[in-house]
Amino acid sequence: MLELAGVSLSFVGLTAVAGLDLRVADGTICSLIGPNGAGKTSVLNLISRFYTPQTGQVRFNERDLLKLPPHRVVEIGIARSFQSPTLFKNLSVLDNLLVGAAHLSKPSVVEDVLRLPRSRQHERLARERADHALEFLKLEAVRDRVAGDLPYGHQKLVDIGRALVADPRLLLLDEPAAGMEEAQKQWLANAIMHVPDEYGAAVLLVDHDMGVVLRVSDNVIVMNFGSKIFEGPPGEVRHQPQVLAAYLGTERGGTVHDAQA
Amino acid sequence: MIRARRRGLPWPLLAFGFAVAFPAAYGGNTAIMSVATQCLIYAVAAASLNLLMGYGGQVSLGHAGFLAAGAYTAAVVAIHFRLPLVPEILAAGLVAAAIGFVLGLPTGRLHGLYLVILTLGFGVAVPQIALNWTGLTNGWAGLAMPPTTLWGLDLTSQPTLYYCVLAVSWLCLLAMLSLVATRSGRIFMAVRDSEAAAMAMGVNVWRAKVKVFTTSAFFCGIAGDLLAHWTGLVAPTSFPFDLSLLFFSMVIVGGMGSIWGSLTGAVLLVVIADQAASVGGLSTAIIGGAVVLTLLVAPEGLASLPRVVSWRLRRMLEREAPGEIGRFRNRDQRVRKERRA
Amino acid sequence: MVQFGQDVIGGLGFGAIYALAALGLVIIFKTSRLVNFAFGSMGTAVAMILWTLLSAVRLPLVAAWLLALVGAAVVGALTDEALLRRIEQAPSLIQITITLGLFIGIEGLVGVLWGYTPKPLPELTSGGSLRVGPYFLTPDQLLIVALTLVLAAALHFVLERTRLGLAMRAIAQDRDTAMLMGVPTRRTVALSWAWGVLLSGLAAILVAPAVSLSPTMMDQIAVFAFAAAVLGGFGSLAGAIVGGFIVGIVGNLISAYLSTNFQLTFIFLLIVAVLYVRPHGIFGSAAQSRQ
Repeated sequence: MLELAGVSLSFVGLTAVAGLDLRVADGTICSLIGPNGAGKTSVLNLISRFYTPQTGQVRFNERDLLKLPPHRVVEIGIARSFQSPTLFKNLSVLDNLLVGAAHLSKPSVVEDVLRLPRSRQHERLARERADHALEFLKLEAVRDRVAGDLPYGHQKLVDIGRALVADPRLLLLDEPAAGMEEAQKQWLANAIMHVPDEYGAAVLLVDHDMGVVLRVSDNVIVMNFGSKIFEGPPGEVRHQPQVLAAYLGTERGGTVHDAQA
Repeated sequence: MIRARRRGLPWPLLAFGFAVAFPAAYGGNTAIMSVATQCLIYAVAAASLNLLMGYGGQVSLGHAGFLAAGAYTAAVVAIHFRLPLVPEILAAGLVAAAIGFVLGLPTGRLHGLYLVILTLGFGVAVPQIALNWTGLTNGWAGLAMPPTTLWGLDLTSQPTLYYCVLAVSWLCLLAMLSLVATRSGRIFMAVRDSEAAAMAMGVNVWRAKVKVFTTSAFFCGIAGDLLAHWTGLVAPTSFPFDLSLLFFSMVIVGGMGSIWGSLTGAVLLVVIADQAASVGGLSTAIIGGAVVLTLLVAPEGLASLPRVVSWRLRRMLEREAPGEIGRFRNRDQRVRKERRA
Repeated sequence: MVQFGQDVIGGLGFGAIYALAALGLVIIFKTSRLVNFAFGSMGTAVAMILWTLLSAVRLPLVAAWLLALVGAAVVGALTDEALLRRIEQAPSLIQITITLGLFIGIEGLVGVLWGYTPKPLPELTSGGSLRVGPYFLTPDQLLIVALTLVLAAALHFVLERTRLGLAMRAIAQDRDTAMLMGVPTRRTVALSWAWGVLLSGLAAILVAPAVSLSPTMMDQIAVFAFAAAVLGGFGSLAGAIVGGFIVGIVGNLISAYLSTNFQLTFIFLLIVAVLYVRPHGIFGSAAQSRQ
């Protein structure tokens, strides 16, 4: 479904992504891990068209993503959350989620002022999807709170919820578990696992938390210095010497779990 | 800034009732009715500016320019085409909206200070253009509004004019409220809060900014039409830079991101200006002081007062901390599985 | 051609005034990232104080000037200390708005205290026009232009060669880091406000003999000066000077050859055109105008 081929991206002399090939299959959960500065977030920013690679191809369902402006990416089915939750901080949680539905239908200003059928239809659909996301992410209790006032963990969930409301075929999650406490992480991992059958969306997950990654992923890609150094099922990742080397900077016995601790 | 929805007394309904009943007490006093009419007209102008500033996150120091565009359109249309009131009002709004659209186009490239200078320049230029385009505007002397009637009622007499202005202005306020509660308004606010996130959710940021400019100008143009009927004469001197600053002050004092706040701010400042008119400069000094005081004491303006007060009261009554963080404590809490609709 | 040259020279005087006021804006902007929209009415207040000192208290000219300018500096520092410091954490829109509120409030206050009857301030110099080649200059014009250039040079020296200037530049780069490095940020910002308002006051005092002294006398000049600062790229001293002279000269040429009434309109058209080509002004960079 999503396919990156030979993608390279550099900023004034600094290489962020170097000749990366990556595929995410329909309905699967794929994780992108690697040490800090490995280029993981850059990959997500490439896919959501915030950055344009110097070389390589990015295709989604046979469409050339690089031909689209950033605001058209969600229309073809890719929605994302941000590393530090980038919410509409003065809006309520519900309104944040409703914005997620903005691209699903587009009533004009006049239709919205007069509440003509297309406007009402949009509001109904957006509301349905938002309610579903609120329930899915257990955010009902904070529905009417101002998003900017919420604790960090909740803001991350609202960020994810907003992307889910957009009805994506592919959901990009940028470190969703960062800054959460252990119990919350477990709960979140559980929720992410249910995204494919609940929302019909594949997931491309970037995270540091190995526990979450190994638990939810169908496929794991390890990056270092902008390149892929390993790809395989989660069961094999923890025993790969080159992965350990990337995390520890040395070749040493043990597992990735030790590296995290 | 706009906050989450809240419940409480139906203030808008109470205010409307008061506004309808108002002439029963003061209908005979033309001076008072005139000030009341002014309050309503300025409320629409202030609310339209609020749409741009409070909801759209843009700045305009030239909104009197849109008011002038609407007022001149009203006069020209009334004199040369003798259109009935409703098409005339729409024409005023549309001409202003067209200008707003053009002025909004550079917003994709100009931010902050540069937008300030653009709108400032526009506000200053409009009276100069009106002064020099004598063929259309009759220069210094201005255009006198011909007597207008609506369903046989004479709009130059009070309280008929007041009621007509009340109806139009209330419709405008409700229209703006409707807008900010639906998709279009949410997009304006989304762009205001985070352009990156809005873009990621499929919003064309530039187009949203142009739209908010256009919409704001449309409503301000309608206020200009009403103004033309209220003053009876449309002249270049009716739209000084001070007027743009006055609308700006109304938005701040009333509260950015609150349409009803702008109504409150407009009424308050118009009444202050009227009461302090005898001493030169006094009303200006008070209004400037009110802006500074508002920003220091309650940056969200008068509109936030009921919420702040009721929040304090509720805290005192309930003394109950919200406990939603505990929801995540349950390690085995299962995500409910439901098929997608 | 001589006439054209004379029209260019005619714009120098006002150009210098705009440049001075724009310098005041830029100095404040450099350290506090804020536009002091109140500078026009603050300047008017300073000119009014000068008028009172001269006509009612009957101080000698130099003493009155000094006193008025010291007053301006104090007002500037107080604005920062008493008002802006209290809303340091607020969004910049709110902070800018408070200076707009001050602009309105001070203009009103000046009206209440001094009234709206125009008052004369004496010309600074006496004597007829000077002749330079085929052109004529008034001594006042010459004085204003010279004073502006000298002050700009002095400011440049302060900024580049003194500890205060170093502190200002450090704060302009990164306020938090400057504070961590031991730069006295609060004092420096307050000082830059003092300097900024002093320059606005000076601009008002210098222009007052040419226009009549009234509460709204600076309105149009303030708009031009703000335009000049934006044109120059807000944040560069040279930009403010060049912007000021461009606005002054082009303004004069527009009144001479097109129409007096359209002066402001054309100036703004020019600025919008310039900004469209160079979105950060003539001397500006993206970092300087970032809000």
